[in-house]
Amino acid sequence: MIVLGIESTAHTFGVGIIDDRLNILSDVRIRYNPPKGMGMEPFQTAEYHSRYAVDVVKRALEESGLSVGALDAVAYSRGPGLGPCLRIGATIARALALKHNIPLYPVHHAIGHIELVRSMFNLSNPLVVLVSGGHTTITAFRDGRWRSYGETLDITVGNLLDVFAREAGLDFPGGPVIERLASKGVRYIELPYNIKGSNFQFSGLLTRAVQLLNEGRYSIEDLSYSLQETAFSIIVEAAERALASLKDDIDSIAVTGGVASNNTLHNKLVEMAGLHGLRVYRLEKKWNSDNGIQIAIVGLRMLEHGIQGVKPEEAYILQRWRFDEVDIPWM
Amino acid sequence: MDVVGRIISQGELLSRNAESDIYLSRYLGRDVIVKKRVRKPYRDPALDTRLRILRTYREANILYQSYKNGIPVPRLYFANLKLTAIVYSFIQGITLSSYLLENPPDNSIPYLREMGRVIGRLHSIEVVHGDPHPANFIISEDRLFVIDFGLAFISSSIKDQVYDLDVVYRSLYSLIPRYANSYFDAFLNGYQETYYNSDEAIKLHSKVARMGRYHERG
Ligand SMILES: Nc1ncnc2c1ncn2[C@@H]1O[C@H](COP(=O)(O)OP(=O)(O)OP(=O)(O)O)[C@@H](O)[C@H]1O
Ligand SMILES: Nc1ncnc2c1ncn2[C@@H]1O[C@H](COP(=O)(O)OP(=O)(O)OP(=O)(O)O)[C@@H](O)[C@H]1O
Ligand SMILES: [Mg+2]
Repeated sequence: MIVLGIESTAHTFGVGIIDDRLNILSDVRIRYNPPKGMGMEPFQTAEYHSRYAVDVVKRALEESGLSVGALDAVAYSRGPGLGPCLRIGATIARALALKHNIPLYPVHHAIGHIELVRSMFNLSNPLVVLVSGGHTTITAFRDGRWRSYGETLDITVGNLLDVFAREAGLDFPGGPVIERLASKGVRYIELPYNIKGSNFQFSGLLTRAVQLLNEGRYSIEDLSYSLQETAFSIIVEAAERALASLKDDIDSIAVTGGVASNNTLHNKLVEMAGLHGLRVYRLEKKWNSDNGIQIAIVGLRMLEHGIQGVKPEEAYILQRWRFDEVDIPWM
Repeated sequence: MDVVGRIISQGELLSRNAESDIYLSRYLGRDVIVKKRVRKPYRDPALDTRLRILRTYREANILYQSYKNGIPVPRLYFANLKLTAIVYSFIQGITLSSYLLENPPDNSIPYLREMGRVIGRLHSIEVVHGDPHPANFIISEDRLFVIDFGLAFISSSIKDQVYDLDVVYRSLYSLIPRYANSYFDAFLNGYQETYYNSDEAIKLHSKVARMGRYHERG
């Protein structure tokens, strides 16, 4: 079985093709980078994607050496994401499915991140730390769904890093730049540490960090170090609390999403996991950020499980959609 | 060695938890618990020390305030900020979370109502618990005690109280999705019995219940 997946929730338009032995037959993506100092604007981003979308699909097919006729299903990211971007992915997926009369599967973007890391390492009961621009959640599989055992109540960690970087005049995305600066930081500057039960908040932290930045008393290196220390300690503490509340059911920890590429965060998770005799699993960097394969792999699971696809006219999108609303019958 | 150090050294380690080691020991002929917040290797030492001292201080202070006001919490004997440890009375019993997992709704509902009464009384004295998960309640001879004030703070703001309600709702939801709604209703009934401003808090909670449930992407 061979499935093509289209990712189109935000900055990345990606097409990936995977087979049922989890061979990655192709992975092509383009990424919209907003002008310096600007956030991502939905219509500009979508405009960029629409210019290259068809070409990306063609290249993905070429790379796999397959013709469209060889595909058994098409999957697309239904959400959550930017409406104009989502519509492009959905439209192309619809056209492919219709033309070649193959099942069409709508996929939740975050479920894609989770399923990819779970499948590639063949994990049976992981605690998943999903950290990205759209999500910051500690999740585990219970009663047919991925459920949240701790999440941000306001902005995501990716947002925190990106907005701080923008305020500091650094490049987008902010995460990797801050990681580099933080490695030269030497001093921890006190910043707000907000944990609420098993959940947490970052907006107070962002406000204070930006305020200190503008006061100019501290170096950007120390501020970056302290920002990372605070935010990542919060996430790791939340993960540790989630582990405690899930007791012995969890047999591994997986980390995914764009921010998972951060080595400081990874090391902290490894240290925490060590206290509980667990290993931390993380994919190679490129699989942490948005890609078509994460969508294709969920489509593959749906196909393998005999789930009916949606009719092309019902291939709508959902800008807001929680991953714990999605039933996962294949696990 | 000071008295807290001695009580620790005479005790036995009961469990290692997310943020603390729990010892069972004896003091003046009574069973006592020592909760010692341990260093987390993954945190910057300055941040780690600050958090442990702050939480130990808050927990001691709020245990004392609550006890004084007749709320069912363990009785505080000592706090030692240097050791980041507190000593308080041992509560014999089982946690509310294990009870809820093993019992049908008919048995559980009265305890959820009691849980609501306890949180209502805390809110009445301007204490926000910060982590009112069922695992932080102990059923002991038909009384329900509340423990773990490490994330607690003093506040009379409705918004802060609403966070407690939200933690209760979410934790019930992740513990027993099937009964979460009816259990939360029972909790709210109890809450209304003891907290004069409960209606306002409940109203705001239902409004923000979706807070954190949907994130706009930026
Ligand atoms: N080395 C790094 N350290 C920290 N953050 C990083 C690093 N590399 C990338 N990021 C962050 O990852 C985020 C992008 O991740 P990703 O592509 O998975 O997310 P998204 O599409 O914005 O959100 P989602 O996947 O939830 O839809 C950005 O916020 C970026 O700053
Ligand atoms: N006074 C007490 N009497 C009996 N048992 C207690 C008492 N205090 C704590 N415990 C036991 O120790 C466990 C952990 O206590 P507590 O919740 O205060 O610590 P913690 O480090 O915050 O743990 P967690 O982070 O897992 O909530 C409780 O769930 C309970 O089983
Ligand atoms: Mg506790």
